[in-house]
Amino acid sequence: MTWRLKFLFLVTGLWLGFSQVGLTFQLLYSQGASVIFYFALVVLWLLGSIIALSFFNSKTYGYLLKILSWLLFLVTTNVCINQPFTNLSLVCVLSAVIVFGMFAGWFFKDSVASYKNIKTFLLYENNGFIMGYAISGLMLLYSVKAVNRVVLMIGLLLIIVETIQLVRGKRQPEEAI
Amino acid sequence: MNKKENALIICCGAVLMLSQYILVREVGSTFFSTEIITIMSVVMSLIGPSIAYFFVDKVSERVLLIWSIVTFIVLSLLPFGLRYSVALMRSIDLELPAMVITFLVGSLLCSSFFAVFLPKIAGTSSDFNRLYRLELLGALLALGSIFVLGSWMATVISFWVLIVLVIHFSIEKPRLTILLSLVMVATAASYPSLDKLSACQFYKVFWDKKNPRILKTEYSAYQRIDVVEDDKGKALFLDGVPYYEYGDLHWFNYYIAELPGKLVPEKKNAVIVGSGTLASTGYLVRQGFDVTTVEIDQSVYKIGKQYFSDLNKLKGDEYKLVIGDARRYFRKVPSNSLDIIVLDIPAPYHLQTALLYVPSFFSELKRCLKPNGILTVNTCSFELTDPISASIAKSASSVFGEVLALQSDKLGLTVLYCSKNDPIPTRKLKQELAKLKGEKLKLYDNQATRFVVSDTRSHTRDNLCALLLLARYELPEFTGSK
Repeated sequence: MTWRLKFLFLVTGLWLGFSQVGLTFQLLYSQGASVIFYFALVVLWLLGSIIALSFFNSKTYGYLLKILSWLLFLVTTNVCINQPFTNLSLVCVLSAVIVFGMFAGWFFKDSVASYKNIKTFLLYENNGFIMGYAISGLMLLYSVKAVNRVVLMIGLLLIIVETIQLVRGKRQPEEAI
Repeated sequence: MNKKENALIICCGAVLMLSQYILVREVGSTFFSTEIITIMSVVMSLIGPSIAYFFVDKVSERVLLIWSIVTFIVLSLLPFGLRYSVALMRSIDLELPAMVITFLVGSLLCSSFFAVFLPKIAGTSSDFNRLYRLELLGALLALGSIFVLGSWMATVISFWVLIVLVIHFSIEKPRLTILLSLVMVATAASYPSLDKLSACQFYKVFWDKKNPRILKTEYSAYQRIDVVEDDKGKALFLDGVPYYEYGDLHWFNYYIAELPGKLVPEKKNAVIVGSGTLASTGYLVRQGFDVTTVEIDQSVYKIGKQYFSDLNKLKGDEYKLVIGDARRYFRKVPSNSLDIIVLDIPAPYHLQTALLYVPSFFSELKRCLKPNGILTVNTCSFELTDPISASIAKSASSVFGEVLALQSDKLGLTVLYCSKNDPIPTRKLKQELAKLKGEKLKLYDNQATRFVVSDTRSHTRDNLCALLLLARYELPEFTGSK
C-alpha cells in the first residue's frame, strides 16, 4: 500500500473526526443539551454506516455522498446559528449526521474492496479519526468557527482530489464495489 | 463464517461502545470534570482500536489469552477501582502520574482487545462488510440497552457479561469462562459497597471530608451525583465537583437568589435555572415569588428534594418544575414577564454549561425580564479582574444596560446583578449588605464593572474562553496555577 493511499485514509479519518465534533456542537447549540440529541447523533451516524455497507454498491455513491456531506455541513452551520430550536435546524443537523455516517460506511466498504489490506486501512483511518477528534475538540474551546472552517476545507480538498482522479480516469465512478 | 464468529463481533461492537461510555463517565467523575477531560477520555477509548490494528498480525494465541485476562481485570476494576487508585495516588501528591497512568492503561487496555477480531477474522472484503455491519449493530444494541436498562448498575453488569462472552467466544476455554463468570458475579455482588468505599476515599482525599458517608450515589444520563455527609453537614457533588457544601457554598444561594430577590420591586414571577439543593427556590418562594425551576437533570432535582429538604425548607407544590434545557425553555417565555432570573448553574466546565454564559442566551433572558427585573449570574471566580470573571462579565455587559458586580469573601466568588436599563437599587443593596457581619465585600457599580472588563475578550458562542480557562485551571500540575 502506497504512502499516498495511507495519507488519503488518514485525511479522510481526520475529516470524519472533525465533522463529528463539529456536528455535535451544532446539535448542542441548536437543540439544547438534552442527552436524547447526543444519543440520536450516535445512533444516526451508526445507522448511516450500516445502510451504506448494506446497500451502496456503486463507487458513484461515494463521490455524491462526499459532496452531499460537505453541502449539508455548510447549510447546517448556517441554519443552526441563525435558527436554533427550530425543526429546520434539527432536520438539517440530523440529515448531515446520517449522510456523514453513510459516507463513512461507504468509505470503509470501498477502501477495503479496492485496497484489500483491511488492517492497514483500519489503522490509518482510525488514527486520522483520533487526530481529528482530539484537535477539533480542543479547537472547539478556542474557536467554533475554526472547526467549521477546517471541516469545510478538508472536505473541499477531498472532493477536489477525487474530481481530479475522475477527470484523469484513474477511478471509474460507475464501477461496482 | 460461523455463528460464533458473528456473535463474537456483535459482542465486541457492544463492548466497544459500552467501554467508551463507562470510561468517559468514570474518568470524568474522578478527575476534575472539564471538557478537556471528556475529550481526553474519548480519545483514550479510540486509541485502543489503533493498537489492536497495529498488532493484529503479531498476536499469538497465548498473547491473546493473556491480553484477554488483563483486559478483564482492568475493566472489572474500572467502575470503582479508578476512583480509589487515583485518590490513593493523590494522597501522596501523585495526581499527574495518576492521570498519565490512567491515560496509558485506558488507551492500552480498555478497548484494544475487542477491536482485534474484526481485522483478524475478516479475510475478504465481503466478510469485512458483513462483520463490520455486525460490529456497528452491536454498538447500536449497546446504546439501546443503556436506554432500556436505565440504571447504571444494570449497564455495568451487562458490560461485564459481554466481556465474559467475548472472551468465551474468542478464547474458547470453558474453564476460563466459568472462572471469569464467578469473578464477575462476585464483583457485581460487591459493586455497591466497593463503589461506596472508593467514593469515601475520593472525597476524603480530594475534598478534605472528614469521615465521609455516602448517602446517595446516582448516575443520571448527564452526570454522577453524590450526596456526601461528614461531621459538618451534607454536600452535593456533581461528577465529583462540589455543587453545594455547608460553608462557602451555603452563601452561594444567598447571594444568587435571596439578596437579589429583596431588590426586585414586584415579587411576582421568578425563574431559577438549575435546581441543585433547591435552596435558591426555597429563598424566593418564601419571599412570595411564583417560582419556576428549570432543571435538565431530573435525578438532580429528585435528590435535591429528598436529601436537602432541611436546607430548602420546601414542602411540595410551592413552585413549578420544568425538566428540560434552559435555552429551549426561555424561547417560550413571554417578553417582559419575569421579575427575577437566577442562573444557579455549574461553572462553564463543559460545552453545555458554557453556552449558558454567552451573549445570545443573555439576550434571550433580557427579553424575558421586566424593565426593572434582575438577572443574577455567578462569574465562577473570586475577583472580577480574573480572566474567567471578566470574560463572563464582558459577555453580560455587552447585553445588559446595567451590570453590578459583587465580590464576597465568604462566598469566594463574584456575582453579577444585571438589569435591562433601569438602575438596580444600590442603596437597598448596601442596606442589606450592611446587615451581614464579618463579611468583606467589594461592590462594583455599572461604570466600574464596565471599566474593569473593558479590555477583556467576551465569552461568546464562537469563543468559549471561560470554558477553556476553567478547563486549563483544573489541570494544576500542568499550569502550576493551583
